[in-house]
Amino acid sequence: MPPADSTPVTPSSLLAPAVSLQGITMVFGDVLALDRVDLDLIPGTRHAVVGENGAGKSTLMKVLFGLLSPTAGQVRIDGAPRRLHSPADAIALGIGMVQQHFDLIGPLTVAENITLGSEVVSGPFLDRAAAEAAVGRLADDSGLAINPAARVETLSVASQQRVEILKALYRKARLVILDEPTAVLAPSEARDLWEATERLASEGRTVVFITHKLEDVMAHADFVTVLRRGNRVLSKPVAETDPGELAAAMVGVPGASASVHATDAAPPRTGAERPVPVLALRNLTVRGQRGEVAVRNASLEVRGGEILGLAGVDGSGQTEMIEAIIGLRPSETGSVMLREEEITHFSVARRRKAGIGYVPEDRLHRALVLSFSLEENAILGRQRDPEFASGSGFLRLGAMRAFLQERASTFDVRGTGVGKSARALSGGNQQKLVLARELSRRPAVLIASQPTRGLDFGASAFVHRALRAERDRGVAVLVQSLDLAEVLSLSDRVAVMLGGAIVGVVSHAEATEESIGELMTGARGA
Amino acid sequence: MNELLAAAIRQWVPLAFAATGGVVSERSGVVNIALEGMMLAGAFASVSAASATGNTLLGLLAGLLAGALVGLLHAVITQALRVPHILSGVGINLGMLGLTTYALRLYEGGGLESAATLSYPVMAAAAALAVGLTTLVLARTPLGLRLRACGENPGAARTAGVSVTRVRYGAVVASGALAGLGGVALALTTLGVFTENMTAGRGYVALAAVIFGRWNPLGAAATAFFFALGDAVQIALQTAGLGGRIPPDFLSLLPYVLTLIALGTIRSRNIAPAALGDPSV
Amino acid sequence: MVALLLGAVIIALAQKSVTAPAEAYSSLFRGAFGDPSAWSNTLARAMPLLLTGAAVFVALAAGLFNIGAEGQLSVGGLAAAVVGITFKSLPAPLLLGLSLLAAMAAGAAWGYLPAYLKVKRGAHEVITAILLNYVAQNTTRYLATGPLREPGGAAGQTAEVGATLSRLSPNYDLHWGLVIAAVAVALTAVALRRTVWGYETRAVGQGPGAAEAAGISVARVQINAMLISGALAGLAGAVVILGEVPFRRFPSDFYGSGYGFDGLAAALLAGGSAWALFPAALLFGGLASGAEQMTFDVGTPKQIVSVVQAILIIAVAARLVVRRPGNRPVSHTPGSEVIPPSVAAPEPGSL
Repeated sequence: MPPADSTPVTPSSLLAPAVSLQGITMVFGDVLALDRVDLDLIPGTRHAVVGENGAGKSTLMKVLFGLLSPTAGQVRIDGAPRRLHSPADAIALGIGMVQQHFDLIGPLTVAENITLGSEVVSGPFLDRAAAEAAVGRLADDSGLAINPAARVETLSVASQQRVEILKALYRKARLVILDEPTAVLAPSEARDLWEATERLASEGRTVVFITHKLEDVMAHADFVTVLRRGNRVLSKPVAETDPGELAAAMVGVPGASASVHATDAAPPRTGAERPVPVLALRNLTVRGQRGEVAVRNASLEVRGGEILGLAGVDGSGQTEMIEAIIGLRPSETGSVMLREEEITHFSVARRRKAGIGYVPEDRLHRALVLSFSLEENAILGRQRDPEFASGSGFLRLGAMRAFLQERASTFDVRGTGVGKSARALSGGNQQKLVLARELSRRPAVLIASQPTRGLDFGASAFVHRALRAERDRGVAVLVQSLDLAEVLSLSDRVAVMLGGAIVGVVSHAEATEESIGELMTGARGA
Repeated sequence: MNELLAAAIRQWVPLAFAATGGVVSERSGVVNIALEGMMLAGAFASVSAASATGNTLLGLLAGLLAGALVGLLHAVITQALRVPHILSGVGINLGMLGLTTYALRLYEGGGLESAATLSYPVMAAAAALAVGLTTLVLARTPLGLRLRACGENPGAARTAGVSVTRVRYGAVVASGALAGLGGVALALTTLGVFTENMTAGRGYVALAAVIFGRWNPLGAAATAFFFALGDAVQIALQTAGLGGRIPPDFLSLLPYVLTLIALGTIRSRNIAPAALGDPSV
Repeated sequence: MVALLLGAVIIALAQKSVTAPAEAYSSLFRGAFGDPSAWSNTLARAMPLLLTGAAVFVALAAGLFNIGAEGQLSVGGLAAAVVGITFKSLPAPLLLGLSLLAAMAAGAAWGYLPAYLKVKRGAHEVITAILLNYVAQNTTRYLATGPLREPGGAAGQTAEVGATLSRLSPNYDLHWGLVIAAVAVALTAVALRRTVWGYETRAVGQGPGAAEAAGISVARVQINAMLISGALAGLAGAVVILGEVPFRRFPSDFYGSGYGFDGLAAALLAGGSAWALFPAALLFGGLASGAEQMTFDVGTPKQIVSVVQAILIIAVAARLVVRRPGNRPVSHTPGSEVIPPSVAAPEPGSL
């Protein structure tokens, strides 16, 4: 798609911005998250805000939506300065936001979610039919197809995103903020979304979206603003820039590549030199949190010395499958095999002893005990090893401290002062500590879920290097990620899940954004 | 048989009021162990006001108000002070037991009695009405929708412009008023007497009815009836002269054991309001 | 302080006198710490609180709120009495040991039930433990007034036990139970901090998800913690029955002594460290013994102390919570969270 094909791009000085942010500064503790950032948003355009993780994109958008109060600076709407104390204020001023984590109420219907707070009533009672009709009309008008009577928890991620956008439109939003809108979508779903945003802009609304994908900026935005470490480093019409300039602005190095995943990629392997599967799933069926079948008859092999990437739209059963492998969730039928041995009915502890390492998706609740000291976290799961426990059941505190020091220096974990808790570490250092711990057991299989989510460039690169090093050591590595680019850059083979089933396993050579994307949405059968 | 049914209804009324109150509070996201203390406050206040004025209606009003005040206390502690809901409940129950016993001891001769009592069929009808009205409000009105939204996802409710704090304050105060009426039904309908710790765990039984009734007023009321029937059977056995063979202390275990069994036979994790006990404000 | 002030307001309002609170509190203080015999009284009251406090503390460390200590204490006391009466012919030291063991076993069994219902059936331990408290109350009352009543003896109590805990000094009511209690608290404190068992228990309490993913069985740890918690509460029942002078037999109204609930308050007040159970138990012991004096002197019903206690629990929790997520300081002392996440925000569906 050519950039901004329907909207004429005019230099920003000629158009009055409907909303402008001026000198926004945000300080968290002693961290300067935003430093005097300006942003002008012009009606009828699409504006991309790009930058690395931690650059301040989300913080800036949260200020605009009233979720955060800036330390300094102001928001002007139609020229007048406005105070946004809460999202309710922002909504009243015509600003809507779709956050990365949707703010929906699962057991309620689409219409109930959308009309909540300004319900359609007849007398003292809710008028369900009228509400659904109103939402249906709105959906038709905006081209965001949805069934107003469906319960939200039964909808796909893409449909839930449409509900979020409709929520903003129902409240007459003139400006819609989308935070990484395509991160959770398959390519075809993303295309539908971009079409919808084009329609919104052509009706005179402003669309602001956060992204770190430069191709999306070039194809779907009229204006672009680049943030780096809390500073605005570039802001101009997309027509006047190119990906090279944007990438350089993002990382601060001329000519640098903007993609985390393209850095120091080792040549992928075919997996042929070690054809023996270390981890194998045979016809695995697993039930989810609500008792539904989350994984359906899945069979998969991970060989020694390969990285198998697991792709899929969010909620396709990846989480449940991985939990069944590690033993956190019982499997209904089928088996999990580790080197010819069936471990389906092993406890988590036995599986780990047998050689499974696990880097959980939810770092704060699954990987670390936040209130524990760093040395206590460093041995979590190994507290019964003779190395750390005496025969009489006492902990060897000296050995724990020495172990933490060794691990922290090997894995470059910073901020490991005496007596600190895991909570005091940054996300990147927390993840390094988790990796350091998991790899210390020399696992035969390493499972990593969303290993770089929320990490900055340096930490992400470190994690990727560590995963590749394990692969090179002969470990069977399974990496699950919602970020298709990450999966493609890391994996020797890619497995795709859709609706709880594994719908295809593709070699690195055949895996492209298109081929995987088609499998993710069911556009192509395996 | 009719007598048994009448006794069951008599036991049901306090439980039904309290359980309905429990549903209202918990659907808004506030765990309500404090039902026990609310009932106790309602029972004490009603008998105390009725004996002072001789007017049962004033007694009823006093019980309702006392329950609502305890509800307000629970709301302030959990919402404004952000104390974990369970701790607030434990503290309130301990404090209300202490306070009502303390106050009871200050009465001449340590007895508190009201000559006039409320008609229990009227209270039974009121309880049924409360269950029905709560069902209607929760399911069919904007207020009910907002209350449920607060219990499921307060963040979403807040961005939709709903004041979660206000809804929860209202829900917990209403819950207290209903539980207070439960206390009134317990103390002022039959004997018109307040005795030390007279609720004897009924608040907890009512909470169990809320859970077993799947956070739904009708379900909670039905479960409460099941528990009340157990109590009625127990009382009937005692009065039927079986007391000689089965000791009364043993029979009076029946309601608690029934409730324990009920709690042991369900798995309710996926039906409960998702943000129940949510500490955020 | 807030608690005492609010208590004063309540007394003033209830007794329609501004001087009443001052009189009541001065009498309360005299009864608690006024002279050696008051101190002895306070220590005697604090002794079971050390044990019930440790009981609640251990459960809390594993993420469970053991509100059932009162019931566990009662069945423990009863078991100690039954063994002490039944095997009167055994040599005293052996009988004493057996009685204590029986009490711990009974308490542990009573603690096991809510733990089982929690980990296997998902029922919240607070509500099941409270229901079990009522069961314990009725059962012990029935047994003490019925089958176990001393033939020909006074109503509502069992016969005297065969072996008792001897006094530490002939002048005061203090007995070896105080030593047992102090040792139990010290063992609890050391074990929670320094042993593998303590590590796993705290991991489950502070981060159940991470503990589970690391291969620690949350169910096993929680059940063990409640067994130990129940045993400690049961032991508290035994040292009261076997040591306290007015007892040495099991009275039908033993449930209601309040030691279990006071232990709960002491554990919450102790915060993150089991060592802090010592001052916390002393405070509540002092409140209890002072309350008797206060009732005797100025006629203020002693139940006002429960009100003060309730306010104290909430005040302590409020202070703890204000330091919790959101406005948490960056340099956070590890392991200092007192209220485990599962108590602060229970799993939906359990309550």
